[in-house]
Amino acid sequence: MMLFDSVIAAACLGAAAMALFARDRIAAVAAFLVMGLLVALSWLRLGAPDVALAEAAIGAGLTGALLLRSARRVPKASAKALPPAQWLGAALLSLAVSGAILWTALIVETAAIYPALVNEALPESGVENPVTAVLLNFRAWDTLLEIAVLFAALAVIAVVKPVHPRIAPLGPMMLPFARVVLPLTIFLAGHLLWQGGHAPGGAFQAGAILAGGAIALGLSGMVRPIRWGRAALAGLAILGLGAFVVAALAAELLTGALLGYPAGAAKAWILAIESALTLSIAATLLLLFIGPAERH
Amino acid sequence: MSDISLIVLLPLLAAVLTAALPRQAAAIGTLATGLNAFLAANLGRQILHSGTVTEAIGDWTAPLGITFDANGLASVMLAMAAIVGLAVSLQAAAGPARAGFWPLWMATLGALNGLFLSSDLFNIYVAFEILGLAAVGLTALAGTRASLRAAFDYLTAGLVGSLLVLLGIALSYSVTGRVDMEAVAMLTQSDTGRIALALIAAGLVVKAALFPLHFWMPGAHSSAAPAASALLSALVVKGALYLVLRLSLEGGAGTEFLRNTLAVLGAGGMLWGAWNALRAERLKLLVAHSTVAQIGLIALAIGVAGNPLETGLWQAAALLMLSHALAKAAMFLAVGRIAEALGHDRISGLNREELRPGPAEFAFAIAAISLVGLPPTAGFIGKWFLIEGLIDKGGIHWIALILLGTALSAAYLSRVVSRCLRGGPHVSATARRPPWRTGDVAALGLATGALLLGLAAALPISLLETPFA
Amino acid sequence: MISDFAFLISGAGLICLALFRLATSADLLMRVLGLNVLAIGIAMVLLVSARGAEGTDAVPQAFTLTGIVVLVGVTAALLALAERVAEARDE
Repeated sequence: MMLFDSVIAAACLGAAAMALFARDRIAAVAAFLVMGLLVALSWLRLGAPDVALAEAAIGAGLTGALLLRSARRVPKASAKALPPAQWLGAALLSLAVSGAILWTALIVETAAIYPALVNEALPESGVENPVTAVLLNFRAWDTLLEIAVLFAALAVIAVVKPVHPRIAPLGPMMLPFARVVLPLTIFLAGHLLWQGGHAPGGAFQAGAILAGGAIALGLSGMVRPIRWGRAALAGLAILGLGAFVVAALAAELLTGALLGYPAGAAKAWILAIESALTLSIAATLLLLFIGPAERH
Repeated sequence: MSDISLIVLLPLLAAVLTAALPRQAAAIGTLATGLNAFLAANLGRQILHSGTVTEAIGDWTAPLGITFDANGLASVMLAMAAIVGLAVSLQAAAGPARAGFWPLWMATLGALNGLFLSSDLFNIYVAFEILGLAAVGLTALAGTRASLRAAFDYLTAGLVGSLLVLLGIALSYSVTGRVDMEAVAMLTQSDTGRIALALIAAGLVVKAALFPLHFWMPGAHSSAAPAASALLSALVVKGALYLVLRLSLEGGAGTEFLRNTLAVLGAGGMLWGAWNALRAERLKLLVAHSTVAQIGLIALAIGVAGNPLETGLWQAAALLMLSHALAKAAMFLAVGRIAEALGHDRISGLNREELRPGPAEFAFAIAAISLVGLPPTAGFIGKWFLIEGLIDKGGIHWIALILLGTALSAAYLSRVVSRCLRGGPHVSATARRPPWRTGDVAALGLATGALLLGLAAALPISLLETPFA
Repeated sequence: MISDFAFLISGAGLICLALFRLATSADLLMRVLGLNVLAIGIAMVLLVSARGAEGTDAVPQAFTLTGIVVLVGVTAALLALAERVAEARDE
């Protein structure tokens, strides 16, 4: 497996170089997508399946879709020949930073103090998947702020109001595909959400799958996203942050600790919060793609 | 329900409500800012009374969980955000409704409160991302071409900054195995740890717009709408400066290398910002470059303060942050009103015949006095504290630099003040006074606050002197 | 261990490529790509250092997950701004 790992690690670098140095925009975005999938594979090999799943769905899939959307709309800057001094400076700086990282990571031999703490606290957390336990119990405040980041991103896009992408239907060939996609994504999302409690998965992956399915349906022309009602989607999107904040306050009323779930009921609380987050994340990611409001 | 939980959650709840109910947004936002100020005052009283208040979120203690530490410094910062926030909310609620302002401002306030209280590096990184995005939204709110371009550059620079912070946190994890504030002192023990700290600090230098990585800032701060500029200049850059100060405090003697670099960069920023402010043609640009100079002064104060565990000189930096926030917010709000009355903000066009100086001009003048640091303003107390400490320490060259910076700031601010407030023959007899607006009240209120804070400086100083942890 | 080393090199390499591109390109879309590659490189380094005797530490995994979600939000905002900047140039 060592050889396999080395090949993937090298392929990640190769794809990244292609993405960053390709002349053609579409080729660059395609290379970025491939890199995302290779990185997801690497992370699977590094023993982080939750993260690999999220990277494949969000990092490669949704970011790729966003980049593809913008690739044609953002004009290319005229490539000016750089002064050699700047070129050299950039090369030296980037080599120095990555060299420092390599050096640091190679010479330290510190055992992390988290695994023992996580193992000790896991039985009380209400879930068996340690990553979900960290995200929604031990460090739920990070996750609440993360949902606030998505909220802020949506608020920025609402201010900027880009032209929403013209959805060009891909034609009748897509219809049978779309009929399969709809139930499949809903099933897959529900499964990932439920599975997150004990195996890789959770609200973010499930939400991303839902959003991806919706974008695919929009592209197939079967559903016109405009008619779904952006107001309803926006309401769903901001519901996530609202529900999380209210849950945090309610938990404090019950237990006296901010985001401290009542003893024995942690699983129910986590599942309820995660369900609300899944829908909200799906709506948010979809709106990040199609834009929250139409510009007149 | 503890004050700490409410002060971090209330603005986020208000952000959701203002986004959901745009018609009532101004009322909800103003109410939330008022409640926030009340909570900040209450928390400050509690800290004065019984020292640092600590709260473990979900009862999971650090390093696994995240802890809020409401200490004296955090409390002064919370009060700073609350006071500036009140004035800006007042101005925005009375002004023309701008869709999108309130959710962004509430998210900014929530992120700042969370940032000031949190004792976990990764958590602070996430708070920075909210702050960065919301600040970019506030910049883009003006909708002009310049502001959109400035917003893009702002977001790119901000993201580079936060990714550098994240890289430092990743290395901090591989060196110490943890990312809470306790890790900072451990990081100062080894070369690899110092690399991690240096990366975090480099990211913060970008985010705080400290010279020479301030290139993105004058454009963003000068092209945004007045209320937004006031928030960006007075509060948003303070988030990063606060964390720099916090790292200096947590690291103690071990962060001397960071302080030495900060002192040099700060001196550079103070002179470079002043030079550009002297040459600026537009009023808003002058004020934005003055922010570069003032951030330089604050960084210099953090840098020359020495080991914070031994001397209390770092408190000067906190006082300067507080006084700069009040004065600069007043200045941007006043500039907004002046530009509104004149229809432009060219400095050469401030001499006018048909308009007498109004309240906005007076607010600008008072804020300028505080920025220069004349008694009895808050700016004077901060500078006096710093210079007095430096005399004891024997840092005479730093004193010379600070006085040079002060002279330069007096020079560039008098370019405006002398034109604004000049009476005499060139004002025609029929000149009218501009009518009062709520924006004038907000600007004058903040400027008066900066003035009075100098007289009531005992309060923030006694807060800053409460022992940590 | 050799596998971890390969991924570490890959992570540091991604950071190197991204920083170089960010410092030399004026193209708006390229900057967005560069920032994304930089973030992925950082996540790779973090995940490699999360490797321990008894599997991969869950806490840095959660950090990475948070980082990915944060990044897609910022990327969407950046691209929306870039599109509007391009539009404003055309007008």
